[in-house]
Amino acid sequence: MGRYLARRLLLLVPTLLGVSVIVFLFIRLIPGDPATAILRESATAAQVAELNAKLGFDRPLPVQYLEYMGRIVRGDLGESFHTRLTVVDQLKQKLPATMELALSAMIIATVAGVLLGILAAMRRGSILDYGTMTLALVGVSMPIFWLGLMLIYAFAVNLHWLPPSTRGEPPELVRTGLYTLDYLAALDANGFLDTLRHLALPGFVLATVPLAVIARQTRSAMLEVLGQDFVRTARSKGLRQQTVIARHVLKNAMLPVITVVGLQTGALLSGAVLTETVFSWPGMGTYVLEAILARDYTVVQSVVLVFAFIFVMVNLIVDLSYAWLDPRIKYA
Amino acid sequence: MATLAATASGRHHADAPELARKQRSLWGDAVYRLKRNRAVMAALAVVLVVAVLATLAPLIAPYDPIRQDTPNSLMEPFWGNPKFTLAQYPLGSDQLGRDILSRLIWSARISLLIGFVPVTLVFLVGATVGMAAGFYGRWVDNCLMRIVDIIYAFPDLLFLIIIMATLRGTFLGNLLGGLVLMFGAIAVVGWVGMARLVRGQVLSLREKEFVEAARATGATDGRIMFRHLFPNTLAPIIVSVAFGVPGAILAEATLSFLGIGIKPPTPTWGVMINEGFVVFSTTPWPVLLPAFCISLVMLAFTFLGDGLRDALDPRQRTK
Repeated sequence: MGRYLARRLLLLVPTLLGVSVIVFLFIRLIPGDPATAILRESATAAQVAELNAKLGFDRPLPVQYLEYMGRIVRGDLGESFHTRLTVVDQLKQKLPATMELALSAMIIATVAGVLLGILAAMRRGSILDYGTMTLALVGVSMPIFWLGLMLIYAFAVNLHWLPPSTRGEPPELVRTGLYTLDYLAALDANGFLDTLRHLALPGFVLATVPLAVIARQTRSAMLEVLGQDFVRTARSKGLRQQTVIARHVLKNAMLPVITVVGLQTGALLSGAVLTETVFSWPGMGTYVLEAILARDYTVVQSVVLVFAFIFVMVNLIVDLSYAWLDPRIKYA
Repeated sequence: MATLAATASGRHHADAPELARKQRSLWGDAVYRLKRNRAVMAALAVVLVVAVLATLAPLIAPYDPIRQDTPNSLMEPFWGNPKFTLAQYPLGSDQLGRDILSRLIWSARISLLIGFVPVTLVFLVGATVGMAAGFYGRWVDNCLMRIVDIIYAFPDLLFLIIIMATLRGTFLGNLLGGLVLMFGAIAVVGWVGMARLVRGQVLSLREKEFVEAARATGATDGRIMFRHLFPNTLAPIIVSVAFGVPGAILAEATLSFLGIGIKPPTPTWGVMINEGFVVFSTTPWPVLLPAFCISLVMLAFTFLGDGLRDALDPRQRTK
């Protein structure tokens, strides 16, 4: 286990280096140099050359790359060409926003998905079963940007029940950056509820795909286990239905479910980019998308690297959790 | 399902106990199971209809999809208020007076192309790399899998956005209105999943006796890979391809929605949603109709993938 972990952590280094090289090269494929992009078309050739020299874009690519990596290693993620704000400062605000959204979505998806899956499996063949599974299929087949826009239109624009976008007012004292927790700590019920109202739509939209996948996986895992001999044994001992389900079936059915929850957590990062854009959520997704469209090199390079880092760490944790949850799995 | 099958075979035995069941190959068996799956047959019908419409688009679309008829813009579909409906625009028109029905039909072409071309590339590259990595192992595996790891470390959508946004203005981005770049981008992001899948399969298969037997008879590496290993990895590959199609269609719609996909005026469902959203609060149809098409086609391919998985691997049946 220790050796496995060490090997996996070591492999992260070439992976993240590769990611940084790819992003570095891609961002330089944009037609036109960054100085022109910053100064707009009206700038004179001399101005462009001066800015390029100042920003270091006149040097050979390998030199630029090494300098860039040197700064990254020292924890300096650079600053935006446009806003002059440093990436590290921006991330301190954007990362908690994305985390809060992703966590809410994962909680909604896991709780609702597992419950629906269990219900569908226990009432197999019923209307509830077919209804849930059909909804689950529709859930994965619906573009989430489109679902998001529909929900904004219905609940925010027409009914005025929920706010259409953003995170709402930040708490006076930002400790964790997760507004829900910060409001709770400040014992501010109004602020807490307002944050929840802002979270409701984007959280649900981001949750749809994982919810559907988790519900389907839970149902099929439950059915698999329900057919096993030890369940029959438990029943023949005269155990009550709830006991059989809770103590015997669920425990054994949860491993594949946890696998899916883990995999979906990784996929959530992709979904977050889109959901944040639709709901103008001030997180990592909108940050990186705006930077890409504005050709803000430093921001794109650094934020994509952070994204990739989170993504590989989530995957690693998912892999490790299998061994912890199922002693039958051994890593060499 | 299981009980149905049991009674059917039971009756068969009662009628003619001495008759052995007709022998079916593994693939014949899968086709048989597919045909009995009503959801799959319905999905197949949807896909076929869309494919026919897409292929015959120039013949059946009533108008040129980019022809603008500005005085008759934002017409309601025929089920809307008939007073404002012109019979010649059955599904209404968008804000530039373009016929929505024609645009939907032409968009189906792009969506199906987006559905199939990148998936073919994904299959070719992914299966080859996965096969080579799994079969040769050692440094080949190490090198190839490090590349796979790197691409796998990007969240899919983020990588797609980076590729599309950076290369859109280049020569490549202008080929066929951005279609070629879109094919490439989806394939670049997608092949790693296929490579991992095939590698995993090959790793477990290459230790099997039949490979040893083939080697003992003097089969070359190439022959073992293509005649012995490849057919055995085909079932999960087919399932993965079936799920790759809706994924690609969704990717196109998403990127076009973000404004970095296929370039207008080429109609695609994603472009239509993007453009229609300006007028959504007053006239929702220009958005609702393409969104419905995307959902329908994606649902059909998801059913198809589900059915294929059940048919090809009965052990993994979703009961």
